[in-house]
Amino acid sequence: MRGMWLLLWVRLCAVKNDLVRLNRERLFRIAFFGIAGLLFLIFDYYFFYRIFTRLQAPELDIYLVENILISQLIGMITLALSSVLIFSNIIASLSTLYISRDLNLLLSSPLSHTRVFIGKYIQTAVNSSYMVLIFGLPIFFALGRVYEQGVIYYLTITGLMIPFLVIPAGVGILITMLLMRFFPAQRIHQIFTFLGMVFAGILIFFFRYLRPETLYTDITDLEQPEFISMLNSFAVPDNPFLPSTWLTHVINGFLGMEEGVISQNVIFLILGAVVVFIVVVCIARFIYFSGFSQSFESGSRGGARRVFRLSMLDESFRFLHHTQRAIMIKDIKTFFRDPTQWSQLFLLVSLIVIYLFSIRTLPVQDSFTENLTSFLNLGLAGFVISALAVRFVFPTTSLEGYSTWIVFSSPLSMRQFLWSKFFISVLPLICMGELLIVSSNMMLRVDQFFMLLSSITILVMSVSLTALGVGMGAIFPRFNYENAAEIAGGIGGIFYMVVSLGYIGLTIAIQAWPVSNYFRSLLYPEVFDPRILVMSIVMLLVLNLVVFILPMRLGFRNLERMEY
Amino acid sequence: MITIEGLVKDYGKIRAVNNLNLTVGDGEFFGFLGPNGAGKTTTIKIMAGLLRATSGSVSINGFDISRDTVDAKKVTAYIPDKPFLYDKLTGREFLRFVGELYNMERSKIDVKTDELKEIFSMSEWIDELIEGYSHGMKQKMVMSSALVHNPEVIIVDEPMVGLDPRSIKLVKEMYTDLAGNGVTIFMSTHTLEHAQQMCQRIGIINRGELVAVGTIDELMKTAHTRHRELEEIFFTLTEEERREGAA
Repeated sequence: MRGMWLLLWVRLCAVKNDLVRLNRERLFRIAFFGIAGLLFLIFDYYFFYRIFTRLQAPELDIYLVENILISQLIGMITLALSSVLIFSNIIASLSTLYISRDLNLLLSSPLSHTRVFIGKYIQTAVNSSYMVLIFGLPIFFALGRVYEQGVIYYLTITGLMIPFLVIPAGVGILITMLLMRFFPAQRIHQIFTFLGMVFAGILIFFFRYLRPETLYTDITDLEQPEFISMLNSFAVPDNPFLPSTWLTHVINGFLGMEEGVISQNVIFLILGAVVVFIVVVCIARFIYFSGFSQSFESGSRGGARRVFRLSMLDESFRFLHHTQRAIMIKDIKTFFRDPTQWSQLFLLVSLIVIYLFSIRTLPVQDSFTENLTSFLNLGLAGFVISALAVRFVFPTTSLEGYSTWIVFSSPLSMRQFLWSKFFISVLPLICMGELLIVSSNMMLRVDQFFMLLSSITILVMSVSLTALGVGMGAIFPRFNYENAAEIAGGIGGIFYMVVSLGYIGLTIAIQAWPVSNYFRSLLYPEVFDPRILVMSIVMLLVLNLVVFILPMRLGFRNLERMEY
Repeated sequence: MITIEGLVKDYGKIRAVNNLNLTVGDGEFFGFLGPNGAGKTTTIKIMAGLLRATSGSVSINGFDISRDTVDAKKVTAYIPDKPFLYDKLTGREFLRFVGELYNMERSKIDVKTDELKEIFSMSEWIDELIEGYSHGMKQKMVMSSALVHNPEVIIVDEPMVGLDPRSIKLVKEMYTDLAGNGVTIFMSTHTLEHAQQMCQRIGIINRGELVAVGTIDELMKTAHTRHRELEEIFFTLTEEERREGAA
């Protein structure tokens, strides 16, 4: 047990020291994420509370239907949580068991490998499960409230989360250990990252295509075949050996949908967790350390590795200055050779498809609603662009990381540096913005005025949001990161999101003026006033000039003033 | 030529470099020594344009590093003690990237790359990703990147760390040849033996102040010692400083 406690103690010490030495930035981050997390918990709880209340609606007056629907929904949720847990444990265990920096110290210490492994097992389970717990528990609590359950229900469900989390952790860790032991280690991290992104994309598709909004459909009016097909769409695998099935049975038992199943399935869950834990630890005794040492025998040194050459890039961007071209080619090559970076494009594709799918399924019928939706859609598309910018544009300066010495000791001026970062980012964002807006406008069949207005607006927005991202990324650079995703999560990234949302809101507010004038002029042509249009264009011009120029200038200055 | 005048660098209340004055002539091989925390890396980073001086000035071939930054950097190559590289570029791509940062024509970079590839025996792995390189291979790549644009001044921090004896010999010969060809070299090192073998003049910095500068003979006089070993001179000078500081 000593190894496990030592690891736990080290983690607690790190957390304690972090809390004791809170600086303003960390305090801000904790407050921001604390509030955002709390809001998410409340939203999660009430969202599912509404769904369960709706499904339990007395007007249905069909007890059986209500039970089937809720039971299917619980089954779906527990199965989805288990799948996510297994996958996140595979990814997390690769890092905690094979890459983590403390492993050299721990495995060279007198602690037995098994003890180190058990400590790491717990660390993996905690790291990869807490988000699932935060998402899952409010759902089960909302169910408890709808069915007016007592304290025993809440305590049992909370307690059962431990075995429910330990089992997928064991399965995930086992898969990683087997892969690391029996396959060449050199590409495993990249493959995992890639698979992780594909999995996340599939999960989003899966959730969106279930069309959760159909839960709000008034099913009393549905024809019987439609009703049966809707029930079937919620059917989930009900395998008696799955922990998700055991947990579903326990919840069903509490809610009175099944009888005499609680104690049996509680025992299944606890015993299952103990057995999985023991089996995984026993297997680890034989394969963990050999897999760990094998991970150093990468075989990538020298000439064996295939390189994704991207040679055509070397002859591109000839119209640019040497130095800017050098930075751009370097950035593109490093992006496409790093799976942790490019695999996020899968999420992006999922996002676009879901976005357009959602627009297509919007219940808009008349041309007024279509045009209005198209206008409001600008705000949503702007938000998507700013979310992309915070992940891909804002970190561009910080991504120079530990290699700043080569860039900043060279004769490259900060202006050239930042402009090259701008040019490399602006085109993809414009394409993305136009793709979202033009395709959704075509689906909405908007008139020419709105097509022109929204296409030009999204073009300007994409350019300004890029400059804002590049500029603010240079005002708040973070060169000592371990993971590129950390950069967007810092104080600068949060500040960028706040400013960009304010900018999008202002843009929509300024445009609302001529748009409402245009709507009225469709009915009463004499009210059309071109001065309103001109004034709003001037205001937008000023706003965009400020958002474009100010952060870039401050970014230049900050980089020139900075010490590396 | 490097001229440092009245250089001061403060980190908050701590003075890392205190009124440093130094001149290194054209084609001179200058060694910069000092114990840990003496201010060597800070001085070097100011010279490379990565840190700003609190006061004083550094000029390289007549260009003030804080005023004529770009011009000063054009003639300089800086090699840090822990040089991180872009793992996802190949060696050849990295050299091309650095060459273009220094505004070189592509054809000239390619010629120089082939030349450096032969000098450092990198033919087998120059087209592989840097992430697969050993420490020694990375050091060779960093050195090549410093030489690709034919610098007039090389500022190098701890060049021999992690190199095998063959590579150390190669590096020593290379820097000596470069100095012989008129390139000014400013080298910080902890390895006193290398400094004694390679450098024409040596400066010793302690607690941010230059305590001695000159040839080995001149340093002997300053340290009031008859030992010609730099190690003995170094300990005598830094120990005196330590005692004076304590008093």
